[in-house]
Amino acid sequence: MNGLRLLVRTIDSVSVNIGHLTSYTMLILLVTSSIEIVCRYFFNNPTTWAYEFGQMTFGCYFLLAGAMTLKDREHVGMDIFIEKLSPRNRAWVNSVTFGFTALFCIILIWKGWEFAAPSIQKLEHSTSVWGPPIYPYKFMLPFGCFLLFAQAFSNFIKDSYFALSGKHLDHGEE
Amino acid sequence: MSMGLITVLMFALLLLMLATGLPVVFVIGSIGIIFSFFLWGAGGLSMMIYPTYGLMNVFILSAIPLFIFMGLILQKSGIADEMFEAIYKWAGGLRGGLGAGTVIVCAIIASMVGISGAATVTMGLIALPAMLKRNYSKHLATGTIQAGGALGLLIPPSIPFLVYAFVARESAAKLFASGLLPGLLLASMYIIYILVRAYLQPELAPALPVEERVSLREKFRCLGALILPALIIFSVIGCVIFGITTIIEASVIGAIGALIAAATRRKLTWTMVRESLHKSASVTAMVMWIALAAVCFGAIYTGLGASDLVQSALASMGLGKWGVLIFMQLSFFFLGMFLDDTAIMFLTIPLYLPIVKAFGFDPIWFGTLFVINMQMAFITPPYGLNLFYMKGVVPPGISMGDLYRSVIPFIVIQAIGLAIVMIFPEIALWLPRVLFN
Repeated sequence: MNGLRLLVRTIDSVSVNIGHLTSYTMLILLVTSSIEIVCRYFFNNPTTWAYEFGQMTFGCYFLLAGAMTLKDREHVGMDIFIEKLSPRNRAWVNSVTFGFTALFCIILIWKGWEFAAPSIQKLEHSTSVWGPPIYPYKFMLPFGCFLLFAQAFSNFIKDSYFALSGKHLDHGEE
Repeated sequence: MSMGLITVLMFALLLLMLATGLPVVFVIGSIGIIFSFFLWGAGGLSMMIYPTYGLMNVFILSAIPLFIFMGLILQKSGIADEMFEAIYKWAGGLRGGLGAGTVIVCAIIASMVGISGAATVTMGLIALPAMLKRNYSKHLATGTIQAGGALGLLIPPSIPFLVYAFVARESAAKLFASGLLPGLLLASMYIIYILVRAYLQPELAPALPVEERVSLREKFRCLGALILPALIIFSVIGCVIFGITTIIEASVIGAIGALIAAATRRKLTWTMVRESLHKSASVTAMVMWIALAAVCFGAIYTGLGASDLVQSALASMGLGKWGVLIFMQLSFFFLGMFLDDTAIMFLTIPLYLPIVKAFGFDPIWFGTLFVINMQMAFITPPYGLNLFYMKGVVPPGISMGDLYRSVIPFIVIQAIGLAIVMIFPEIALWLPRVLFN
């Protein structure tokens, strides 16, 4: 049990910390976009990098924050029916539907890796004037899906533990 | 298996799995994968990745967290309270005045935040207790807040229009401009409804007692606090619809303006900034992951030849172009009972838009109709998001059944508004044409 508890706590804190860290990158986006505005409107000399930089920052932003949203169970779903069940039956339903979540995440990790791997092998750079390395960005897709899967797995352990035993695995968390 | 049968199976499974409460993103994503696997084997799965990577490179959507951040900062710096106080003092003396004023405040807050949940929750906490205390009917009071909160979808800056701009490859600025007048139209229809209802049945929405009303001087004094936030909102809307800056630049200006506004009101704290940042990331991730799953699903669905299927099915019904348009609106409404707006958009717009364009309808106008329709989805049971947000903040005496009843008149008004904009496309198209041509 202690092993499970440790696993769940570790995954949860990784999700939340990465999510929080990611949420600060919006401030970077705010700063770079401001620089771009000043360069374009006041000096009539747009930067070569701000657009692409913003694009990549935003891609990482939502991919990496998804696990935090899942930990807080804030991904929207139609919970009107399941709300009527007892907490324990609800946990049963959630444990069973985890299979679908896992399928989605695993396929995306697999296919995302197939997509990113050639880029990583040749250390691909963007073809723009600025030309930043693009392989870490492509890697974010399978990585973000992996974080999401890990968090879904942690929720699954919590739900199935509660469904089986009627007790919460971790009182501090629920 | 025939295409039609596969489609029916797919949507049956979709509804079944949604009913288990599994988040929309996983329902759509996993169904797409399962069907793709059975139709084409493992090779078909690779089709999903390129559109997914395409979605990662849509810069315009990075305005989403910035708009949400702007709204949260303005909201947390207490402007909702002050706006409501101003409305309370100005309109409280009129029968139904508080309710009509709530619509206005809801519209402003919801348009700032761009997501309707925040407006519904905020006004549910501020305006609802005030209205109930003044013996407003619980149905009128809660219905007003839910419908008012949904106006944020239509009044710029608006997240659904940003996403539609991406899906339909139309100008987001034109879409923002086209949503403004229909949004104001709906807001006025709500206000008229509330005032008429209150005039006919004073017990539903009584005026403030005379001793609670304030002097004209006091009324003007409370307006002062609203100048700065109003300036920010109007400059953001103005920057976009007059084509002065791009949408992302406008969102940056809005976010920085909100920080400045909060600082001048001495409300700016690090905790507030941090919480707003986390919340923006969380909401953006939710929207974008649904978009990602829907893009995967859409890739498979299009791969099936669904556009042809939908086109031939619609043609074989012999409805004519208006019949088809009405059919599409009905399908949005139906899907809106179960799915959220991002998912519906990615699933239907790529299929519908070629047909709409072939009929010679304006895609900007169609986008506005879609968003008006999605406002109904936000308050239509069983799965209307605003109903859930509202349920979270109402006092114990108000049940989900009360909330279901409360929204009915507003859904009817929205349907009338939708019909008006369908019959008179100029309401949506006049402003973008004047501004951009």
